[in-house]
Amino acid sequence: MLRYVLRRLLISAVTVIGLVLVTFLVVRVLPGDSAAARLGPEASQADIETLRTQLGLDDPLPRQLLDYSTGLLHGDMGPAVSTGRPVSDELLDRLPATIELAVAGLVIALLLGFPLGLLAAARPGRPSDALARLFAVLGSSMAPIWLGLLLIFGLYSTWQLFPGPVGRLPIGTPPPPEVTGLYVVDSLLAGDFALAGQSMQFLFLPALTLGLGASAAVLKMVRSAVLQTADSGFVRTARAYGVPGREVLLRDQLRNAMLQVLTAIGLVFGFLLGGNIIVERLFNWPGMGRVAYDALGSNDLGLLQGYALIIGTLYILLNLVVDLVYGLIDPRVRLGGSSS
Amino acid sequence: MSSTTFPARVEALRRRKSLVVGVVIIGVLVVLGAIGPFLLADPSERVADPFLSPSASHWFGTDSYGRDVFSRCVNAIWLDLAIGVSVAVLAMVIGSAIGVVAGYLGGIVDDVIMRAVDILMAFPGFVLAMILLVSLGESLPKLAIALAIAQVAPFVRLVRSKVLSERELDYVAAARVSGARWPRVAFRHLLPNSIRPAAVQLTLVCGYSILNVAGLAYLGVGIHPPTAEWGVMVAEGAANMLTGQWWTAFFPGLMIAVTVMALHFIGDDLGGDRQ
Amino acid sequence: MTRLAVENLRVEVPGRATILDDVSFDIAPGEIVGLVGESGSGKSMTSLAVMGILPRGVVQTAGRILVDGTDVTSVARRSVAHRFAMIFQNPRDSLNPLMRVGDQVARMVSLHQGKERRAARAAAVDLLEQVRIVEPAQAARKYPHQLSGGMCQRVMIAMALACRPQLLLADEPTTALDVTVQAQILDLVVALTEEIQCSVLLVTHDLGVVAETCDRVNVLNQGRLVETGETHDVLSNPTHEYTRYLLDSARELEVGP
Repeated sequence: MLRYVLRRLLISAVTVIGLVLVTFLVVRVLPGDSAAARLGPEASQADIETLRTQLGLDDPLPRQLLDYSTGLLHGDMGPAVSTGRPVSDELLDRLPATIELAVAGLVIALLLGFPLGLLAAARPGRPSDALARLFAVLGSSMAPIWLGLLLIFGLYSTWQLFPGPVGRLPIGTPPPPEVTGLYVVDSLLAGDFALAGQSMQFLFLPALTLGLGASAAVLKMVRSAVLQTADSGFVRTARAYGVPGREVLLRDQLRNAMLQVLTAIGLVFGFLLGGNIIVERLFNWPGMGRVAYDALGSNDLGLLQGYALIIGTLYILLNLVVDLVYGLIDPRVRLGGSSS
Repeated sequence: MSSTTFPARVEALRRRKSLVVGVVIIGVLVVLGAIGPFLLADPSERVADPFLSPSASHWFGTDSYGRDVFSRCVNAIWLDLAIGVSVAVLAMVIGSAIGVVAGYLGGIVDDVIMRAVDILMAFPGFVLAMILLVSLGESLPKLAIALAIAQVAPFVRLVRSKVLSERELDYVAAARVSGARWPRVAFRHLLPNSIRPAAVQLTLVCGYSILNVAGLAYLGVGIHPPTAEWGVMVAEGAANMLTGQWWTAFFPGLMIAVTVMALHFIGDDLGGDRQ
Repeated sequence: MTRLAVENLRVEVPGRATILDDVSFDIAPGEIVGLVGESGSGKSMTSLAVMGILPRGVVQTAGRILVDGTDVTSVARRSVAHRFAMIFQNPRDSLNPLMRVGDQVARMVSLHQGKERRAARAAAVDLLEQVRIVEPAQAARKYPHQLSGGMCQRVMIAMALACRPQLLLADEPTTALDVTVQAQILDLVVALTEEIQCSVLLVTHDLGVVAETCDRVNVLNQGRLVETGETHDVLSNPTHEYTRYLLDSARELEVGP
């Protein structure tokens, strides 16, 4: 187990270093000139040159990379050209909002996708399976922006069931005292149940937009992982010995399929973190995606670079956690020493 | 093939419902996209009052400039399909080539390539495409390249694992013994045999790309107004959705959903998922 | 009196292939009967059909399977499982990799003997001892991947015993094991089934195994029974050319190339 953990840690560290390198190369080496882009088409050559020098863009590349990496080690991603504030502050301030949305999306994706996937796998080829798979195809065919618009149109404009796309709380409502930055959690901690309910109402539509698409992916993964175990020897044994079908499905098939499903959940969460930029704009959700959208508008490549780096790092960390949990669940990894 | 009778082929197709449905939808779209522009109103001109709701004369209504939404949707078919197909083919060609090299050479080359793939996969595809597009500068070919690079990683993995299992087979050994050099063996023999799983991914990526173009358009990058493109139209119509003119964004979004769904159906069938 | 009678069994992949055609044989209480054939002859499918666990897409299209005179193709299969048990070719793959082997045996004890959890656990340890696993209490806490193939097959036999079976279906039970372990497992199967008067259907490609253990033998070729009779008669005086071919290939193996 220790060797396994160390190996995972090492791989993650290497991947993070690679990530830094790639974001650096994409932003600094590709033909686009971030100084020219920042100043727009009317800027004079002299202005561009000045800004280039200010940003350190005229230094030799290895020098730039060294400066950038040393900065990163101190949590410094440089200043955001468009706002003047440090890139890390701009983004990390908004991290809790993004996490709250992504986690809520994941919960919805799991609540929908997991039982449907299991239902589909329990009777492959039957109508229940066909319906579940149709749901999966529909869910993954809708553009998130369009799905979000439909939900807003139906559940807000037409039926007024949920609040409109104005952010995390009604305009003018003060947020709960900050502990975690997650409004639902913080208002519960403060004992303010009304505020918690309000936060959840505002959270629901954007989370549903994200979660519906992701639930299709969860459904497909659960179905195929469970179906794969259906042909395995231990399921044949359980059936031969008269273990009831439902127990075989839950205790033998699902438990073994969980190892694969867990990996899939890591992937889906990554998708939720990255897909949020559209949903955050649509619902005026003040998260990192919203910052990235503003950075797009003002051509702030440094801020975008920081966004990509943080999303990528979160994703790697998440997969590290998934791998470690996997190690805890699977006795073959936890105890090692396979005898052959 | 020639010995199969016609009724037998019809019977075989009847069992592959999802393939038939998918191909028919795409076929209808292609034909509509080919003849529509000659029959319908100019997609970029004002043809009626703004915000007319769907009616017999304007099936999908008109948008804020009084343009015919149906005509714009039909005119966008070929553009969207072309983007989807070119991104998918581009990603497949690049990804498969890298995958074959990694799987066939193995060792350090394989390690380095697979690490790089892991790093690529650490970005959600959409974010990667967005960053690349902004860095490369915007144009239609660059959009296709950015979207393709974001989808290369799964192709590399797929083809590499297929190559790893196939390289032990007899025909590769035979080719090697006969003195062929590795690039020849790799590309002439392995590639054609490793391409089938990639074909499934091809249809999926084609769909993702159409979805991603729509997402990027909403963020204001990639394709811009006044181009008649589904994603651009959804983005333009987004504000109207809140004020009640749902049709301006609804129909182009529906076109996207139907197209991507048809691609999924075809992919499901190619993946051997027949029910 | 027969324990199991298979009559005119026909198994097909509808529209594609016939796997078993008109297969009939029977087994008396306490008898050990061999079912021999090469791979692809349909011998494993026969045992799966008797057990009622044919793979998806494969169906029994004709024939009857009688247990103590009752046709079980029409009744709920679970009532059969209470009287039958089965062990397989790859013992480690046949065990759930995420459950301790003791728990897997205990699960069968509570399922088939109605014991509650703690009693089932204790019974499981006793069963592991019966299949001659040393330090059974410790072995019960292991996962399949920590045990050798032979040990896993012993665990499978313990699970079979937990069902108190009247018929044991053994599908190539020793093929995947080391030669030295093979004999031990066979001896164990013979001894334990004799003790509880359990019949055995031994499915194998190995005529040596048949000669050592079986009272009677059936030879299966391409889904059809080609020869049947007392083991000694069939092996010393084969009437069908396929049986002779099997015997010849077995002898070649013994002499070595």
